[in-house]
Amino acid sequence: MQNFAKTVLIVEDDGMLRDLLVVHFKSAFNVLAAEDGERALAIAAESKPDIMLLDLLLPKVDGFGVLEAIRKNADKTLSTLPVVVLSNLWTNKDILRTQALHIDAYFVKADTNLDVVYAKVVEILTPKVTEGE
Amino acid sequence: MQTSVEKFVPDSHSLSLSRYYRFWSLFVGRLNDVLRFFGMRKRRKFWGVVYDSVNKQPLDPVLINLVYVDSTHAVQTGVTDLSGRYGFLARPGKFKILVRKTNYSFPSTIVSASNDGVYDHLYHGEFIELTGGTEVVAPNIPMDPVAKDWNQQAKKHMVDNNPYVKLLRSRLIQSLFWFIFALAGVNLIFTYPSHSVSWVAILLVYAWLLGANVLLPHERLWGLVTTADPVNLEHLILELHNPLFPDVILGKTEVGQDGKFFLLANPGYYTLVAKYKQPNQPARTAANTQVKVGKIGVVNQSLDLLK
Repeated sequence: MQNFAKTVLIVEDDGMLRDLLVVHFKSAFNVLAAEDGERALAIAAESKPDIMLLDLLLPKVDGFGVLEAIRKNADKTLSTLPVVVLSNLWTNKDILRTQALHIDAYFVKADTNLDVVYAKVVEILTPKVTEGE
Repeated sequence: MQTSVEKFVPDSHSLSLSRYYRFWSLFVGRLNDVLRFFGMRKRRKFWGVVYDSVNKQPLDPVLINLVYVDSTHAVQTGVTDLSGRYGFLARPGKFKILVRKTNYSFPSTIVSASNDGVYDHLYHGEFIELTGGTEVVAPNIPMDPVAKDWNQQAKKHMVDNNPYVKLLRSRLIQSLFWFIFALAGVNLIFTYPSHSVSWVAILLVYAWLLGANVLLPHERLWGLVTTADPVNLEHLILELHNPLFPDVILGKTEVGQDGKFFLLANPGYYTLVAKYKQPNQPARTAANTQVKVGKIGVVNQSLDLLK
């Protein structure tokens, strides 16, 4: 499998799902994982990932709070960080709220699978990979 | 296989519901809603719920696998939605359902019967065997909490799904419904022959509903795609999109060789998109149509391709 030499930050409070995502992505990416919003913000500031996979219902700081914090960040690598939302929230209100915070894709957990999410992450990162090469 | 995919090039917007079918399904759906509301017709199991065996709250996300004994059948995988719902359109064969969620164990030892007073048709890990055609498989599944789950606590105020309240409300409505029926009957007997017109009218409404309950067909648990060339069905996938956000998929399923599909969705309006899987390429959009999902929470319409 192709190695993209890019870092994915997975933010998911559910241990089982977080482990599945880590296993799925680690064959081609460097993977970081956080179980709550506070930890996600700390890791993002410290490690500067290339993309964030973000759940919305999270302990301490929820996904909306994480999005707001990174978009307002003075560091451009964080304020422009690509974010893919992976949540079971599905209402127009939730989707609109995340789109207003400039997400790159929104997936409903019950209606997607890991391969589709993986393909979207690769698609989002592909131009950057080409530029890097 | 490649040939059959290439041969199938339907016109855009060719996925359609006839006007007559739309009217009929709307009529049957609303009347079924009324009959279920009054408890005259038992609620069909359009989907199953994975729930906490102690507080009966729905669980999400739960990873669900339908695993056949015969390994030639692929494992079907799903994740419960915010209301703990799931369902599979299973092929004939012998299989098990396996469920996994952080902080919960399966099978439940707290609820070991087939009914716990709130949920029925309970599943505890036994083998299921289907001998006929494809069928919707969606038993309710209790799981036992083994540790505190933050997600479940946080969700309590978000999901309007208190099963005890629902059960009580349903029993009250049913009791009131049959009480009025009894009252009208008694009134008719004791005021004979000088009937009150209003009591007679009430009894006529009951008679009409009872007749409808006998004659009205049950709604299907699954949807059906019909096409001139059934071979193409094995390449077909259906996606439900939010019309306001076309990039967001709110339901996805494959179509069986018999044209049946199982597609769970919350009530609302959607764009249903039919796509064809292509080897080593993204799926190709073949057709789309607007669909309305009612209270039953599944897309169970008949859809014509190549009409």
